Amino acid sequence: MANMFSTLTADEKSMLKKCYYYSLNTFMCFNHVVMEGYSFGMSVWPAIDKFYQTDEEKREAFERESTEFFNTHQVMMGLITGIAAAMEKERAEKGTIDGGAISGIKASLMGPTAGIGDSFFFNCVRVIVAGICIGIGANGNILAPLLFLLLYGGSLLVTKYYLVLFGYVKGVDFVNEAFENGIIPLIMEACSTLGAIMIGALIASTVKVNIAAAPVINGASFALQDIFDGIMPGILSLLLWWLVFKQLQKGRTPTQLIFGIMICCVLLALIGIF
Amino acid sequence: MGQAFLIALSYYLMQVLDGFIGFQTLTRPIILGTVTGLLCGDLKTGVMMGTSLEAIYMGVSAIGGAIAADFRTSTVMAVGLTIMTGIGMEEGVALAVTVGALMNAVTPFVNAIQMATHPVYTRLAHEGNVKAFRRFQWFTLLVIRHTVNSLIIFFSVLLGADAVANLINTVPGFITRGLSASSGMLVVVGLCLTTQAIYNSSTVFWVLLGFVLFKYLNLPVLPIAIIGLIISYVLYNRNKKLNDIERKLAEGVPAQGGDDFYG
Repeated sequence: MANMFSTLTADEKSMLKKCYYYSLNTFMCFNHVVMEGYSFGMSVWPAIDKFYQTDEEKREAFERESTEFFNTHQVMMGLITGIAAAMEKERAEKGTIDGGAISGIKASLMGPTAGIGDSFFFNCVRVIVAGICIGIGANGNILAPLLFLLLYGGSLLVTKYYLVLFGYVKGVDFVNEAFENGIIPLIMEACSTLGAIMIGALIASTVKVNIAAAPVINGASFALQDIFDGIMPGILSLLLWWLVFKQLQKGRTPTQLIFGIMICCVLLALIGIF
Repeated sequence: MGQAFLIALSYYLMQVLDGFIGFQTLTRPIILGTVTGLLCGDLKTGVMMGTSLEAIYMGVSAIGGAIAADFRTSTVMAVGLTIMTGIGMEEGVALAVTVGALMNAVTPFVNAIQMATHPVYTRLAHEGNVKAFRRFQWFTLLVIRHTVNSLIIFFSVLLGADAVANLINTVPGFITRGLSASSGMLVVVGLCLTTQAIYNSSTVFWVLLGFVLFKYLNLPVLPIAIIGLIISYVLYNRNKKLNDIERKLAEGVPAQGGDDFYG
């Protein structure tokens, strides 16, 4: 392990420590628009600050990283923080990667890493550690919570730290090799393909449009949701995605869209749609 | 007053700490119960109850079918009330179910407030004001995220859950329903921002593919990612070959053996 990270300079190590510190704050702020996005942007900031030269470049990179949707298991976020830091480095130094490739990598990795992280840490590590500690603590032994904190919390903290380093080192290696072979544009295209497929899965799994209205016509009640789902399950989520995307393309800001959707929802609830 | 404060405080404190360290450990019943016990003056009971609540919420064992409530609320209320008023653990957990339902009732408002922070974050990021962005993260953590729930615990212990429920019920139902519907939808804005970042002419079709794999074939995310990886690898390989050919053509390398063929 130590060998793998021996290529890191002292400077990079201290930068990655800062990335790690900010990446710990995954749940400082969380909302349904970008989920962990703000915290993710903050966790890449030390790399942005270090590698970009001008304030304008830093501003552009930070805005791009911190206002996008991001959601995964908090430990696995460390890996993606490391990779994004490596890509920002290449982008800053060589300018070959465009911002979309970084977004694509984030979008493709967050789904699978969330699945792996949740099942490994929640359903495996925590169950084992809690099993041990429950046995010890039944009589009120203070060792039980301390052991839980050390074994479960501690293992999460340590794993996350090494994932940040691992993501960065492997990310830099990979991008360097790709750069030498001149295949960066091809990789960028592959990233955006994979990213788009994962966005489709995310729309299907996270965007929820549930219509409660069931108008009664001639004594028969028509549940609108069933009718739409009969056409295509989740068709409303997909239409909403397309509508909002078109509005963004037209230059509407996310802020206008968020408040627009909130106000529409309340008004539709007033007339009984939701 | 004192006990209501201590119970709500242990909830707030551990939520904030856990939010800062982000490892989802400090609000597990085994730790949270211990801290509530410590604050309320009976560490041993705190550890014992925290341990058995951890078992309950892990699904290892169940009590009285009353495990529907949020485990954090249940833990602080059951431990705090047992120590300070002497009710049993089952009663404490049952009370927490009511309080948990109250929290669910206000969740749409808390979510709406959190979503309303998005413009502030985007403005600060757009200005490149990272220091203020960081300060606003602190503000979100300390003031916005856990205050309402802590207050509900505080007033439920102080005045009784019924009094709090009456207050919450004065809000017209359509506002709650509307806001709650909007929190299911607003993820779409974040996803559209990512779509915009990776957009090219074929994006829409790939998005449709991912959507269909999830909705129609009911595949979990991991196999979808693997299928996506295979597709993008195949595409990448083909593009690489095309790329190599283009480069060779541009360099003017003659097609090998061409003369022999026509010779």
